[in-house]
Amino acid sequence: MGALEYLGTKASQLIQTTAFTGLTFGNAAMIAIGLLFVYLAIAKHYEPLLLVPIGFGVIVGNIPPAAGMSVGVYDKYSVLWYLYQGVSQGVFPPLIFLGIGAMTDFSTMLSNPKLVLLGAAAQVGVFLTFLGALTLGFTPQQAGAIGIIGGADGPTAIFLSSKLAPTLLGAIAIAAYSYMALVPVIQPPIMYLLTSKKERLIRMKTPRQVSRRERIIFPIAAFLICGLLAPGAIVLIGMLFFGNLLKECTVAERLANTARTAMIDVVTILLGFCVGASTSADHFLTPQSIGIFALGAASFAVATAGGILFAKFMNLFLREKINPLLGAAGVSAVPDSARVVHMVGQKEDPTNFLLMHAMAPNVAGVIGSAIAAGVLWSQLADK
Amino acid sequence: MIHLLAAAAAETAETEGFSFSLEPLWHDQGLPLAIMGMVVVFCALITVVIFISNLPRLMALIEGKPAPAKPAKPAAPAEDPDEMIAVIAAAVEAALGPGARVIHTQQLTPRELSWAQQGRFEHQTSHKPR
Repeated sequence: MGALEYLGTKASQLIQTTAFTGLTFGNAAMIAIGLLFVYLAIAKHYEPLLLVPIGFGVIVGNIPPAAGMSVGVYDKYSVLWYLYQGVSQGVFPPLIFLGIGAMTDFSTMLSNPKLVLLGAAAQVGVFLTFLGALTLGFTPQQAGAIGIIGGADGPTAIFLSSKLAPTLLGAIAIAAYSYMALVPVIQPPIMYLLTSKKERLIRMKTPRQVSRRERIIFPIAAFLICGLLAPGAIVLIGMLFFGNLLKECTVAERLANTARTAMIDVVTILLGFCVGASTSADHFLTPQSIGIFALGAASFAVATAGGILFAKFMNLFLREKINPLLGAAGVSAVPDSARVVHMVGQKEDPTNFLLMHAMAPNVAGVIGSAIAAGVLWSQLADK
Repeated sequence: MIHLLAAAAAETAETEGFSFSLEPLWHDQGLPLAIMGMVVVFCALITVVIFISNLPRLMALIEGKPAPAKPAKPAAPAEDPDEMIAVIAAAVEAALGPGARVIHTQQLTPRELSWAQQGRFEHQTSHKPR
């Protein structure tokens, strides 16, 4: 009998050490969401490079830790906590920007500079959402971090929220990346609504050839301009243009190659996984997250509309008209929004190739949203 | 779950229930910041645009060529070189037979290219010399 009792207490102790006892409904719901992400990535090919790490991270992050064990992202000095420092201290996003810079070809932008303005106009989404979040009772810091979702730039959003609103980081990152994956769903209705068929048929002139020397001078000069005007942006912008210089100078090909392949892959794995693991239900399932998701969708829509309307506004003054669809590419989800512009353009006229032109406002949008993040950071950071 | 939600809401003070208020917009970190942000973004990118637009001229300066923008532009709509005229003449002869003569060549503007070209073509073929 004593042996049976002994076994009974041991069994109950064993059950106490499993995670089942601490598993809340919220954790289970988040694990289901993680599984859905992994399913969407594998079966439907929705942004698999992001959704597989994030999805699995969500599953890992929602296993409740047993008492006294330091394992989770928020448990100080656990392994995941160390990895998460790259996110919470804003280390990973600039490294991603380095890789993006080493992948980006700025030559269409250099050959048609006026399209850069569309990338600036789309940032209206950031600031209007910032105001919207303020009216809903978020603090200015939180509102700034939520607004930057409209910049459609995952790393920028993570960077800014790590600086301004670390508690909202998980929700903001997930919202930013989800909407980036949903660009082909969010943008086209707005594009059809705001443009006429005649406007969608406008053709763009073939861009001129850009010399190697121009492509080398551009990242250096553009960094000086942006960095001096918005010093808060130097971390992101600096890495972006540094990566681009590595690519364009052609003498550091090995470094450029590492930055755009191995390095960005390593950082994407760590970033995606840690962001996923930071969404444990008690941090993520809050009324605020719902607000963030709603505001995020609004900011994407406003950014798209802002770009298109600004293109139409520019057409009032330009002799050589711009296809206003290109405005939608100012939303800097590279290269998805450019691809959406191309697809919508081709639906009207299958021989109209807008992709190359759309890349100009697209990469300008990356610069624009990084500057917007710099401004928000410098003005809202606790001094 | 409910106590977790409550804890999270309490943690972030006055955000419970998303009370709507326009009041925070008038603070320094409201509308003025948004407008300033938009202005800085535009200023930075407009400066970039101005720089990029002048980049070809700058390149010419660096490379030490005297006339910067000029050689780029006239290159396309330049007078037809002799070689081109020979090609056109050969094409005309192949299409209309010997006896046809090229009297005048001119670079068409993009607008002329479609309708005007079609009109000229019809005009030329209407009195084809036999």
